Amino acid sequence: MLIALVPPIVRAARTGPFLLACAAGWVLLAIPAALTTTIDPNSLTLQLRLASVCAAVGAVFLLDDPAKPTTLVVPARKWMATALRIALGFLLAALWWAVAVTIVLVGAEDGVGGDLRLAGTAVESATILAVALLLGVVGHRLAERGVGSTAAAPTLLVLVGGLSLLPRDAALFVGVGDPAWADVHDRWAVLLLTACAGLMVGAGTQR
Amino acid sequence: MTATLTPAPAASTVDRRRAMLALARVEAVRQLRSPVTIVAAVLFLAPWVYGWAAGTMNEFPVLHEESVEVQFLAMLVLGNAALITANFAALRPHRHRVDVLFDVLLLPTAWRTGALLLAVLTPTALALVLLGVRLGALALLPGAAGQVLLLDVLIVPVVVALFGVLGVLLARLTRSAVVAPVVALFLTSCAFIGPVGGSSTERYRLVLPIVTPEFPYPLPLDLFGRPAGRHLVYVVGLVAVLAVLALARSGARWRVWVAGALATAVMLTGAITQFGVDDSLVAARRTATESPASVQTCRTLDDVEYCVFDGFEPWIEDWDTVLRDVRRAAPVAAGPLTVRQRVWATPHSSTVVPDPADIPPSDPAAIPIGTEWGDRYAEATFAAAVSYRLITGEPSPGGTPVCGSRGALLVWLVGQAGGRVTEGLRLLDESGTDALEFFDSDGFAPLAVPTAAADAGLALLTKPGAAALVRKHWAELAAPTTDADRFAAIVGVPAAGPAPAGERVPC
Repeated sequence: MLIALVPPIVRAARTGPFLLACAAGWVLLAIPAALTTTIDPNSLTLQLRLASVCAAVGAVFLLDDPAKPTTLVVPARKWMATALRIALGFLLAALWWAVAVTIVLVGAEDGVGGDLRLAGTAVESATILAVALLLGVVGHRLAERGVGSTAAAPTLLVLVGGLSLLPRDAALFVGVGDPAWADVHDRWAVLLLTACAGLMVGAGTQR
Repeated sequence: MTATLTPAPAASTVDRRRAMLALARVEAVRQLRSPVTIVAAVLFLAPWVYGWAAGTMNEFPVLHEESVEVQFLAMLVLGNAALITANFAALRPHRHRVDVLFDVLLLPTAWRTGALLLAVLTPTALALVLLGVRLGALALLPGAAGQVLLLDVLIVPVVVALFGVLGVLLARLTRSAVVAPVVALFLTSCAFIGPVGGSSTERYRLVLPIVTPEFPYPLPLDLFGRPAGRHLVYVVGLVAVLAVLALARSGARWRVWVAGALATAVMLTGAITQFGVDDSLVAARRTATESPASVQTCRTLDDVEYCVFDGFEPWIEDWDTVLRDVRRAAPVAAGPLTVRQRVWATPHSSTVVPDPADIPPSDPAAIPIGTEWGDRYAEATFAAAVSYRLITGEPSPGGTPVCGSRGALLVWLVGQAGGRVTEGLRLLDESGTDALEFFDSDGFAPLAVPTAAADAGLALLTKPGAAALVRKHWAELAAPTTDADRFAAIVGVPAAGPAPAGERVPC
């Protein structure tokens, strides 16, 4: 049944806002890449983070389902549809990330690209995406008509904004040269696992 | 029969105005109660409240610098929140599928847009209140220098209004709910690439909503030279232009175009006039940089004369405390000292540690001190300058590092002062690689102590009875010929040994 659900879910999911947000994320990275000034690795990492948040904001919309009141009676399990939407989000975001990193590396001047710590930044981006999808799932479940993105998208921005203002000892967004990078990314990995577990619970406890 | 065919009398402008104001009131309250607005307000105040609670806050703010620096965070947090809430409010009818009913209601779309634009006044007012709280609390600190710049403070609420009006305009251009968050992120990203955060001397930064300071450290108020009033006119004009565009997009009639022409005129007037260069400001900056004595007032505490630029008088007593803490440990009868505040207000390359050859020379007899205080770095740098004077009796060494026993003694003198001075020494020790470098962002009188000597000085800090030892052997420790190993042997701390070839500092 899962396979049979794929085409209708892909068609029904709100991919428009997601694709728009993804494109905006690329543009956001392309502007500094097109400039000829040398941008330091910390600023490039910041740009990559902002672009990731941009794409994640779009991913929230994948979980919107205005047909919620009518799909209560269809035989397909609800959790399957949600799981497929989440999988769609991760898949498209992975493709987006590959292009985004290419833009940054091609645009980086003076070998700055080599100073980036892409594995760690990827964990951050994946976590932000997982949190975005989790907010989307929660928003969808709470919204009577199934459109939770209008609450979930600003919540994501506020959440990331709050995390970026954490004091130094508890900071999650650190520079690439920071000695705490490895420790901070252990915390990011824990957050990613927690968010994924939250996604499983959020999607799995549906009908 | 004919009665039913008679068209209902069109709503008068008075009715429409009343309905618009009623809608604006409702929307205004909704914007204020929006979770995004509330969380943004909390996020704006949180770092400052945290610093205050954790005791890491700078208790010696320069108020005019703070009035400018606060704009960046306010724009990003409060501005983006206003953008999103205003946009979502304008899209609410579409989201709930009630916009199709609007044609039968009293209020045409343009008037609805007008109500939404008026409602942006609440986040605007909130920004003003939050900024007032933040700057007001800073101004009440006994160590506050300078004064709050009203026009620069007003920029913040106007920029918040700009973002809110942009949110309404976006809603009139597209009904997609993803656009507002994406535009908010986009603007944030541009703020980090462009000359907005930090300091910049780019001329084109004046056309951006907020104007960053030219120098990475505070300037005395009369040298600050910001076109705040004209820039405010420009941003107000920009808000009006965006508002007119939103109204025009909602089908407002010709009158709005007149308003649009006026708004554009205001915007252009502000935009163009702010580019004027004030020659007297350039001259005043040069005077303050090269011969500060002519524009400073001096105050003598015991035998130390402190000369400051206008507005920095509240810091003198705290400087005096640090100077005396250092002097107490040095058994030398230094003659009367002069401490002179310095500022580097002429254009120069903005590297972290300036080339000593570029630093404008003036009054070598005075101990220099910058325009920052309370950030720990400034305290340690000042204490180092005082220590150097006490040890050598000479003015600043220029680019030469302070080597051997003198360097170690200098580090110990700074470290034994305690409080924020010692905290600053620890911070500088963490950031240095092959030498302990004393500098604050003002860049005057940089002092560097090679690691081997610095480590000996730091080791002495943990040794009991160090003060008496230093007093006893002062003459030998302060001699230029004594090396760091001899220092270690005299005071009984482990010698560091020769530094690796790559880290050796030429002495």
